[in-house]
Amino acid sequence: MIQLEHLSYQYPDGNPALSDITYHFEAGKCYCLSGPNGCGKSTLFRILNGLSFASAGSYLLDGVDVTEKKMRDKAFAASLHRRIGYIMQNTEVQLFTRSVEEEIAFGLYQMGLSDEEVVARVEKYISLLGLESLRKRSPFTLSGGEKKRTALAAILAMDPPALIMDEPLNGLDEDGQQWVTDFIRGLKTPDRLLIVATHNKDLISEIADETIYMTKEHTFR
Amino acid sequence: MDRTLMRLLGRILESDTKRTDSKLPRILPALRLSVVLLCILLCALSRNAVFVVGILAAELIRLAFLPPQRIAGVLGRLALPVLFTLLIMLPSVFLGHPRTMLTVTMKVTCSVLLLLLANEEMDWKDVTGAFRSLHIPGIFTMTLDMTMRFLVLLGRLADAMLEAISLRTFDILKGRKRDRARYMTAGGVLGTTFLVSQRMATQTYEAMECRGYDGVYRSYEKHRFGWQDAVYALLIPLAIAAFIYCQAAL
Repeated sequence: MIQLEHLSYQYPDGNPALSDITYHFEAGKCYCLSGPNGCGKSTLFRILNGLSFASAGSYLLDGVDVTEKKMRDKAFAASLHRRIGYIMQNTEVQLFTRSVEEEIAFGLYQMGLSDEEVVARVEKYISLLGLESLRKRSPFTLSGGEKKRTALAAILAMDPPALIMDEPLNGLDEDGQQWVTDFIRGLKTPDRLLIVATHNKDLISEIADETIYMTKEHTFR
Repeated sequence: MDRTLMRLLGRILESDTKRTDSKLPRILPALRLSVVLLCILLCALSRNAVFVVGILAAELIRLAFLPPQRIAGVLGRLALPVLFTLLIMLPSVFLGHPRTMLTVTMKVTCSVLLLLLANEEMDWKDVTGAFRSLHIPGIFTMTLDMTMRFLVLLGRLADAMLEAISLRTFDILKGRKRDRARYMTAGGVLGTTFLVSQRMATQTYEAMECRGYDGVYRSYEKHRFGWQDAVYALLIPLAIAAFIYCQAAL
């Protein structure tokens, strides 16, 4: 599903963030990405989501090269964002609307779904993630775990075949971590690709089909 | 600075979780806002004190439906602008125009009370929701919502920084040195807050892009027009009719 061919990325100041990465992420598998801080995990996720672009090498999604030029085409960008869901490390910045239900509906309206379909999906994911009592609340007044659940609902409602999660257990208490771990395990389906960046060994042992270790030299091991 | 910040934060957060414990039915925010603005406008234009007194009486009745604690809060906040207006207008009494003082003070009381009551019964989400119902573009209301959100988030950050600074400050400097240190601290807090706001804004925009945002924003919340809104809407022609009648009676 996702192919990286000799992918490298340099920051504007010339420092490398990713060095010559070649890898093939297949649908139906859960990949856990681990490694020291600053090794380039978040940069890789930005590239996979079309927010940054490789300095060298290529990134192919379902065989199609994703480049900066192509991402300027709104239709192409929309198609990529429908296929890849991204849960950011800091969910606080990911939630920006006035209520939880509006947050879930945001992406669905952008997909051009009908009002009926939007309502149906909002109700489904509110119920699935146990957000019934929070539906009218402003997302930024929620607790860390509730924010994480809201972000998950907002992304999952768009039903992307690939889901990327950056440190999903970050800032959660023990119960919250267990809930998210169980939930991610439940997300594994034969046609869904999951890529999860985490330092948590328990999470890796519970969900990973393959574990990738990123080194300080910004490569995969 | 930190006390003001905490108070502002408290107000914003409180407004988000504000419960409507008024005994009156909830009115469509757009309608409520329209009636408030219309009444303020008519009060300002009115040359007949009866009209202003009538509006004031209606607002006082509405105020009476609030719980006692909130009534006290409203009256407390109303007192300052009313006293200030009285003070400003006091010379008109000595110049032989005591009615001017009364008229202006009543108009100010009426307008401020209208706004205070609207503030009591609507939170900021209602206000932006009202803009939306009035067909103001969604992107405008979303920007307002996000501004409020960032105010709170950055307020929390600034507050945390001020707390961290207070833990490391022992107030040993005196005079100019102390002032300079204070200015530098305030500058540092503001500078960091600004940089963080830039980063957060970029990240939020990226999060929006990742969910397919293409510049068009549609709202999920739909406000239904109920019987109480229909009754409340009658206030618009009633207020206009009363205004015309009072002006004609002069």
